[in-house]
Amino acid sequence: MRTKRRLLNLDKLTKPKGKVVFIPERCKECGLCIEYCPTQILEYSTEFNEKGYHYPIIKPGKEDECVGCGFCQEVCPDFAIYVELIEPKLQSNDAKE
Amino acid sequence: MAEKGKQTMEIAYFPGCTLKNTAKRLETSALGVAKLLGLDLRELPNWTCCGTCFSLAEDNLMKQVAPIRTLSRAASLGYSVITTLCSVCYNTLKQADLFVKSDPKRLKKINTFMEEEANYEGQIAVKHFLTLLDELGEEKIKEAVKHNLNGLKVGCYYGCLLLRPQSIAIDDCEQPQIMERLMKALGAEPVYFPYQVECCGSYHTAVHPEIVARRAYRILENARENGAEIVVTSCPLCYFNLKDRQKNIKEIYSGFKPMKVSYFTEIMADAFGLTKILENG
Amino acid sequence: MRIGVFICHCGRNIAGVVDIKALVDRVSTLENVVYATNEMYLCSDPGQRKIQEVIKEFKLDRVVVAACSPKMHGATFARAIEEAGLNPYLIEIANIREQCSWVHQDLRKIATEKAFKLIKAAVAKVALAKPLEPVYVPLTRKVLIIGGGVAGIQAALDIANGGFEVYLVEKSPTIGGHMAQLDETFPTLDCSACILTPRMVEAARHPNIHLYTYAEVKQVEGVVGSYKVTIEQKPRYVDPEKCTGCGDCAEVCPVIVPNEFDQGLGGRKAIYIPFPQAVPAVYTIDLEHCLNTEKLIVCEQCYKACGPKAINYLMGPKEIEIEVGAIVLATGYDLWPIENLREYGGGEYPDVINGLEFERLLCSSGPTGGVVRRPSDGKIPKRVVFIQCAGSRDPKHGCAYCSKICCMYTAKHALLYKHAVPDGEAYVFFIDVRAAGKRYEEFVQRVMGTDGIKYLRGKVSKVFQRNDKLVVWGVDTLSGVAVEIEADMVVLALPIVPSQGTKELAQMLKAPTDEYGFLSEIHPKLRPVESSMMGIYLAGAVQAPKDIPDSVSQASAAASKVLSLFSNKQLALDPIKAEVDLEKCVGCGECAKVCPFGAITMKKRLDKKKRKYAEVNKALCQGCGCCMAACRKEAIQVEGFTLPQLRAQIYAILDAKPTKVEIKKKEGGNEDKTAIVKPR
Repeated sequence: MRTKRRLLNLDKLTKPKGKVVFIPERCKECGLCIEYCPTQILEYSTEFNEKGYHYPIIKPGKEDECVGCGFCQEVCPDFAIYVELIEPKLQSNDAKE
Repeated sequence: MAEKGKQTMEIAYFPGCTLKNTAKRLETSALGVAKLLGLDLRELPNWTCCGTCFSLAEDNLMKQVAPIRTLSRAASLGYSVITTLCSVCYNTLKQADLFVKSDPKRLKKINTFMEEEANYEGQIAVKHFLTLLDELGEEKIKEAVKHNLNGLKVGCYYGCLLLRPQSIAIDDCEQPQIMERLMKALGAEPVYFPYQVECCGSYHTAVHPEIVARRAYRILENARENGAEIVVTSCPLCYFNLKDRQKNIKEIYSGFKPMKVSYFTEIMADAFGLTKILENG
Repeated sequence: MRIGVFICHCGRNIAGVVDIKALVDRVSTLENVVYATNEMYLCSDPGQRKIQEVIKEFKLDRVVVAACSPKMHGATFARAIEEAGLNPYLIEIANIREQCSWVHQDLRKIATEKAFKLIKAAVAKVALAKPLEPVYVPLTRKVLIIGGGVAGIQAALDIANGGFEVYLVEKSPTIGGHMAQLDETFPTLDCSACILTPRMVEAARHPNIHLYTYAEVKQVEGVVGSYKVTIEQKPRYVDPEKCTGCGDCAEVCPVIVPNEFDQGLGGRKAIYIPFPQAVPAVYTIDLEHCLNTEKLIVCEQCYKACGPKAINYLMGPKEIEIEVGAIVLATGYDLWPIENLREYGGGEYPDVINGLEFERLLCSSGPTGGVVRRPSDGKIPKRVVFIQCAGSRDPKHGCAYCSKICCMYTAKHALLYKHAVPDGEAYVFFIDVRAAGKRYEEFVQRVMGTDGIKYLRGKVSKVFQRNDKLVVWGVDTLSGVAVEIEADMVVLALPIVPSQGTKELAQMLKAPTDEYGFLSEIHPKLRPVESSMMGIYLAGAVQAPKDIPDSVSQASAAASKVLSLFSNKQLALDPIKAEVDLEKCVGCGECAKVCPFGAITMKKRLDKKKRKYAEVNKALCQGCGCCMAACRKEAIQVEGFTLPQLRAQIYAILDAKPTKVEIKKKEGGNEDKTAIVKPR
């Protein structure tokens, strides 16, 4: 019966938006990107890549929820996934460490 | 005195006035259910009225004589637990018991007054039947279920006397769960409704049935609003007020649709497949 | 030995029960007493002058005053004999009022006999009294103020303006406390932030005030005059020198969590500033919610967005050690948990809120920009029920005391609600309306007379939800009618409780608290800003629930106590302290074990055997006497209450002297020395 209260100023708070880019052929199904994603928008696909591994995809419906934090990019051992920041547009956007 | 050495503990059963008259049916179902679950209930011989109407006496002590006499008699027969089905009797017996247990001087005075009875030393635990069932555990109840209630939406109605005052309450006074647990074990789905702990009008039913009708209307409508298909009560008086006064409700609120009302042992007997057996004797 | 005894009538208080004349006669016959007299009121000016004259004329070297409790006029008489040239510790006061005439009012003969015995004991004790000098301890003229709310800020400004250094420590990232959360203050309806922020800025800029925010006091050692304090400042991960407060970092932070400053009604980012006018205006990263951890830094959005490059993920906690002479506690209050009121749906229904939450809804810098909205669906409530005394004044189910400010702030809330929602209805359930301050009653009358605000005297029994409305069951006792109101929102005036962490802080400082957790003052009437621990002062709601004018007054009062402490050339403490006789001390350590103040340490002697001995820290010692009771060799005694003195009192009362000491050997070999006291 505990109804949660909503945060009343959500419209004033801006969340960044990111776009996840996959390179499925490099993936070895280690699962770290799925585990570390803080918004939990990644899941295993039902398809295989050439090596026979399930690569990650964005959960259907959650395309807009990537916040561009870059955890997936940092933990992937094979450089098979990275993120591009769409919003907000900053000068330093293009530089990827 | 020690309890009689048997496998199942014998529990003294105090019927009270209502359960032998207007609520006889409820007693039949309760005793049947108890027997099935292995609770050995023995009716107290020579029981008297619990004394709840004696509140008119000025001396707060003397009002306790009737209930303490009952407890003393149960104690002298060797019982350590006494149970009852009536909320009013439970409230009276338990309050009297706590009242004298907390003050040895009061206990002494009552014992002296009741010279024809054995001295009551506070040996009895007063437990409502619901507490006994709760102590059995849901596994035992589930085992005995023959006709699962299949998610029947049940509104558990406690009335006021089982949960107030807090010193004798059988469960939390704001959101009790004791009857809900029982209903879940029978396969029903208990539904919360805020009026579940509000008074039904009690003895006003004798002289002012319209007061009870108004109260019952609000209680039943509230249960219905929150999705209940049937309201289960734990007090014979509430049972009467909510069930048999529905015709009075209809007189005041013409649009009122009937609501099913049951007593908790009745619905248990249904679930255990006992109802037909009990009806046939 | 020339002892003078002065017996006071105290009007009829003593003389009405005790036979003063007989007393004077009997007392004159006591050993060493060279002068005995009586006086109507010894504490009066003529009374004191009499004592001084007699001392000089009869060349007295000890004085006994038989009067009221030494707690009343002990200091008066001590000063009087000091002015006459005697050491102020050569006086003994026999309490023949509170301990005699007042408690034996009907037993005059026995009371007179008892008074004689008490005076006899005092004479015996004072005969063994030694002159004592005050103990001087070092005094650091700096102060630590714990808590940066309005009381802490006021005390800091007062002391800093007095010319002394202040360390102001605040747990949250900004100072301002609860007053910064308020919309408008009663009764003037001043904008709270507008009147507070100038003070906040002044405190931050003052050259004498060292401000430590996002910091807590970790350890306090020492005693008044020389406290050694360790402050731990949590890392903000933002360099305060570089941060300009622009807010670009918060724009890009991906984490949204409830904002504590908005009482959870609004959100903030993991890098945040609690409110726009925060002091210091530096952003803080809340490590608990930031996606990064201490070891793993992945998300660098804020770092990339920060122009002045103020973000530093590698900051660590800082430990600051300071030395201060006094500590002011101004840690303020919190509201009692709303979940305790289940009959009102507290914690269950999102639209049942407390006073601070309602303030944030009213505040234009709040989560809704000043529009009052229901937390459940964001709609504007058209009917609001305010319940006063929701948990206060309820010994069985809540807090027994009155929280003082709720009647006023509820009236204010009702009025401000009507300003915000002109077609709204407000119902206020009250038991009493307590409006005791200046212009408070007029304010309440104004509110009660406002259209659309109804005051109902009665308690609310239950609040529950029906569809999307809250049903409130109450009673209007003045018309005798039970009331059911379908409200959109219910605001509870919850009790004020000491803020979280006060208990641990009080234990650290060894300052006593009362049964509710508020800090105890040394005297409730006459000394409301001092704790019984010397050197610790109280300001604001940490001592008891109070409103802003009282908090500010108390803060200034605490500041004045600190300033008067610092104005002494030296810090002189009462010499009634433990003293160790090194010849008798065998170094067993029992005294150190029982000392409640940790004032005794065992040291090694410099002889060949390297035996231990007890050393007393005079500054920490409070003269309680536990060590004296524990010592088996009578090696440690409290000056002014030595064992020979105490024994002399006992023998004087019992009219006896020990004549024989028998040593019995118990089985097991322990000697049982029994002193057999025979009457003379």
